[in-house]
Amino acid sequence: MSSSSSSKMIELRSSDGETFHVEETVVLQSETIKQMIDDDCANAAIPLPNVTSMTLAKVIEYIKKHAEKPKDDDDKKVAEEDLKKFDAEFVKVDQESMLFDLVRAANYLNIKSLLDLTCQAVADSIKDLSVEEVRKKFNIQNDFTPEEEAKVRKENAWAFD
Amino acid sequence: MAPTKCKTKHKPEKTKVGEEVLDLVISYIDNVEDRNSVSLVSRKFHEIEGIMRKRVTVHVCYSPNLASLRKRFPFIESLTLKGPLYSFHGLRSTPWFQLLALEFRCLKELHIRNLVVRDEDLKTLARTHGKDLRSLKISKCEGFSTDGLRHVSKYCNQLRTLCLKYSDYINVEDGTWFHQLALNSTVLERLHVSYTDISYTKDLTLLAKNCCNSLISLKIGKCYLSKLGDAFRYAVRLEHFSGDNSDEESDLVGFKFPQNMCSINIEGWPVSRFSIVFPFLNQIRKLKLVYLEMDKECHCLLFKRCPNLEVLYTEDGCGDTGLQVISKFCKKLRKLTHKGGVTHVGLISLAKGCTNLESLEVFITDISSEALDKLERLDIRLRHGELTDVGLEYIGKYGVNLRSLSVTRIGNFNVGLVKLSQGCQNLRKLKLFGCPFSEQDVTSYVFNIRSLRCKAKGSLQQVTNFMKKGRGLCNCMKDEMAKMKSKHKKEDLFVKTDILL
Repeated sequence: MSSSSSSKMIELRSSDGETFHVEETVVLQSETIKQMIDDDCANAAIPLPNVTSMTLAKVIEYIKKHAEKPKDDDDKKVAEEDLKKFDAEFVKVDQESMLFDLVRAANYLNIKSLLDLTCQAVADSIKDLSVEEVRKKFNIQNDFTPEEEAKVRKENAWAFD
Repeated sequence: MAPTKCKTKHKPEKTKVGEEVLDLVISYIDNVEDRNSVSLVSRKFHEIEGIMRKRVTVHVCYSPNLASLRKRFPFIESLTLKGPLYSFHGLRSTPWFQLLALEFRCLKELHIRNLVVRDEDLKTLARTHGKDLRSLKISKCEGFSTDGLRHVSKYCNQLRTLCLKYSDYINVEDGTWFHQLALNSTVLERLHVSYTDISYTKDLTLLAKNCCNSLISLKIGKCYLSKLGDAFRYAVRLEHFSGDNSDEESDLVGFKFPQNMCSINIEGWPVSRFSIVFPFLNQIRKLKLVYLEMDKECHCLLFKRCPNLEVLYTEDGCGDTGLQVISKFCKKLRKLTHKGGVTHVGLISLAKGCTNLESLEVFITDISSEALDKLERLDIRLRHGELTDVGLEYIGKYGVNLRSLSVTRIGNFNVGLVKLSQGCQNLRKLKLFGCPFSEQDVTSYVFNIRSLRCKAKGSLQQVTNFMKKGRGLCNCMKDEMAKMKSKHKKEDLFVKTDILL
């Protein structure tokens, strides 16, 4: 169990059976996996039945980038800027479903900064959408009666802004 | 946790995914309009969104249904109660304080505007929420006195913000409340009590001493800077000060503001006093210049020394020249309120120089500018001349990001109005003052703008007709109008009111 400077590798297995090898120091950003390692459940490959290989690859790209340590203070500023740019690019995914998958993976793996980043990206994408558009985006059925809906609309408009 | 299915290519149901994601995302949505949209998505999200809502503003005159508020938002931390802008008959806030006494255990911030607040209400509030309250703002309210405030200073010792803005009617009994406040506060960050003479310099010094690690903003009424030296020496973190000071220049020799100052109101100062702000002008972010009798050069001289200025309020008299100087030296400017008359010449240079500008309020003599495309708020008041249809068309064309527009004294704008309504699709608030609009045009064209709230000034008849045609109009508002009508019996009464079109 001795972890020297060259960190131990951890094996992760995605829901579709693909395995990924990631340094332990990198993978510790996930509270969920950290817990598994602490509990000594990480001797074999860690199964992640909620995360597909495509999503997991993206998550690993993210945590690897975020594990990079700046050498000195000067480097730190540059690195921070660089990280900001990386984050902004990271959430620009072609398919919205990918962003949704990342939110769910970040939540399941309990990676706070990734959850914040992806949730904020989704929240920003809702800006100024109509109710119908929000329903469509998240594929949610409207189960209000017309009267109920009208009541809430009225409340929203008059009272609670 | 314990996931059971790990078959390859297993796709969870699409609806489930959407719900799961939205559930996680809700707390990241800040904008109220967007939160409102989410609350309408389905029953489940109506409930979730309500439970997770931390901040609510209630327009008291439109929604007296306290039970529904409590039911829908049981865990709010910040509540703003707003009365009508132009008081119909002094709406009382007592029922709200009674409700607050029993409910909303998470409440940390309470802001009240344009309502009648009684001493008894403040007592109830202080006793029930005193320990938890972090922010209390009472603006433009009437009906309370320093008696009520005494309960606040006795029980509300965790306040970070205490603001008694524009409560001119406040009945000043004695200074005990302020002495108590100074004694009991240790974490106060913002104290705004500009309504009154704080002649209790000793207590202010005591407060600055007790809150030396927290106090960052101080707005007081009439005062002598020369007597605040001790307070300022204690308040090392102070960043903002405003006070209507009336010192003799000779008393201010050696006077110093705290070194972190980055925001100041300068009201009625003679030019000779400016030397006391020079040391920190280069770090100043907010500046308000009121009642200054300076020549043009002097004003520009100030602007030239403020490279970090973000928010400026000025009654500058040098018009376009001033704007040109601002556009050259104050590159970080975001908000500008300019009470001196300007033309499109100054505005264009402003738009070119200050690329961060998002809010603009100007008195204008002519507009035909491309100065608008990044603005979210625009307030135009005409002093001379008129805003032509062409001007309004420009606003419509370039004002795609505008959320709030206020125009005063507009000449003739039927065609312009159409263009305006076609362009400004994000407009939420439109104020028309002194505009001889044709009611027909407003009701037919302004309706094009999605969910617009219009503040109009017109005759009662005009307003009533507006309301008849208005969509989503709430009944209690109609009642309010009916009451008013019977009270005044005058058809041509001038009213200003919020109307949801």
